[in-house]
Amino acid sequence: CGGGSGGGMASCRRLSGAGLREVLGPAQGLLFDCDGVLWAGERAVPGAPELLERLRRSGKAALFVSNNSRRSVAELERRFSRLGFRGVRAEHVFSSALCSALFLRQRLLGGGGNGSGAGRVFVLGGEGLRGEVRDAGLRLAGEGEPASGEPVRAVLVGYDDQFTFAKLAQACGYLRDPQCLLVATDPDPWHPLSDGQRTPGTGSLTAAVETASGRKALVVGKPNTYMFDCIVERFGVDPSRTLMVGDRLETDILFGKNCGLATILTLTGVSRLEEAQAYMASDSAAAKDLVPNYYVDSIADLIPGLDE
Amino acid sequence: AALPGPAPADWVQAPLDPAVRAVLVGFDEHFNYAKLCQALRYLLRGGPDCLLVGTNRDHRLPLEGGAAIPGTGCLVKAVETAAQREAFIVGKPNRFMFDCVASEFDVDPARTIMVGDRLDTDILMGNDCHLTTLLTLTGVTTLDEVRGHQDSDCPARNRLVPDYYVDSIADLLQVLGE
Repeated sequence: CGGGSGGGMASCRRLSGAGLREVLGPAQGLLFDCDGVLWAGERAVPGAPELLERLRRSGKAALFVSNNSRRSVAELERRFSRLGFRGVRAEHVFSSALCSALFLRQRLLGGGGNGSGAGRVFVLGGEGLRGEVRDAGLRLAGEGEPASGEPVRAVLVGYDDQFTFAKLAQACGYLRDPQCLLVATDPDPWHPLSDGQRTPGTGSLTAAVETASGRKALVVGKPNTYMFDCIVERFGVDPSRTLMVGDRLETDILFGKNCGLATILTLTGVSRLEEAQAYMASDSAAAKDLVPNYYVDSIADLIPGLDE
Repeated sequence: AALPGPAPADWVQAPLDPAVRAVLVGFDEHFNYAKLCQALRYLLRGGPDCLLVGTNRDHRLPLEGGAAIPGTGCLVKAVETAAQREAFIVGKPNRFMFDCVASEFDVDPARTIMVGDRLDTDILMGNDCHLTTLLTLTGVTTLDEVRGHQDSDCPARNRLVPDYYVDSIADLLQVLGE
């Protein structure tokens, strides 16, 4: 056994001891989800900063792929630093906010050029997401604006804790034009808060917009593979030598499977081991794709697999 | 109640009403993320002991000129998605409302006509309750849509086909006495 996922069903084996070295040895790099893997709220997972440091010293790449559309990659770079992770730069971080902006730039601007004539984007989301869209060279439609001026060519639904019925209605107005794209940053139905509570995710807001408009959103984030395309374009990653590490079976692990990566589930976040085992026992083919190749209690458990 | 702070992390600290045992989603032009958050909290706290009920699933409320505003169905879907559970929908096509009518009034389905403009709510409920169903074309449905369902092999679509149609309910005047 080694890097690539190959064919056949994953078997959710605990990674430890010799198995750890066999899996990590050949790997050129690891893709990490962030929330629930590297940190929980404002606390780094114990040992996580040391793991990244050891990866660097072993010459293995560490890249980050997050469905969280709240923050710009610049904010995420500062967050890494503040939580004790050294050497992580914005260019290593692929958030759904960034990738949604890149996706819209490709579709509306053809990947280059300036913004004029491309149309505007109506964003349901916070300042982090709006900033990424602007940085991609696109112009935003304002809230409550009359439907005049440059046409709105895309509605982008992200995590929006200021979501209102009025914004939903405004989005639907734009989506009456079949040329107007409907894009969502990620499908997550909810996100955990530090005390075990949950906050509604982009997926719930997207469901409202889809229902009102009768349209299906193009979802940029995991488990869809667009964010991996962005990573490959920037860093030329070889999937057969890359491991995906995440805490959410329905997004991270399925993403790994969809991109041809071997997957490691870490238990410091959303999904429980019992859920992975239930998917493994299921008869459904779709359920099998949610089973990780390996699991660890925490990513700190990966440290002994690396050279001293 | 006023929100205790600007962000969801603050809102989830506000105390929950211990007496709440159901979340009811209806048409709410003041729907917002904070309310969605609160609904999710009650549903998580109560689990199966907290009901999730929606008044109806209409996607859109049509306005004049072809415009429309989002319907209650959108808000129900948002709550269902966040809570990962399905709401009990009281409105048509669920037969609950017909049962309410039938229990208050002496209604014989065999001698009752359901008149409506929407196939997937009005006509479906009427058919499921064994009423005679009459579609009026002054609303959202076109005859082409009906024919599409009629020609389909899918039994679920066939159940959307009315027994009769009129261009407008005014056409019924012709057959009623003075």
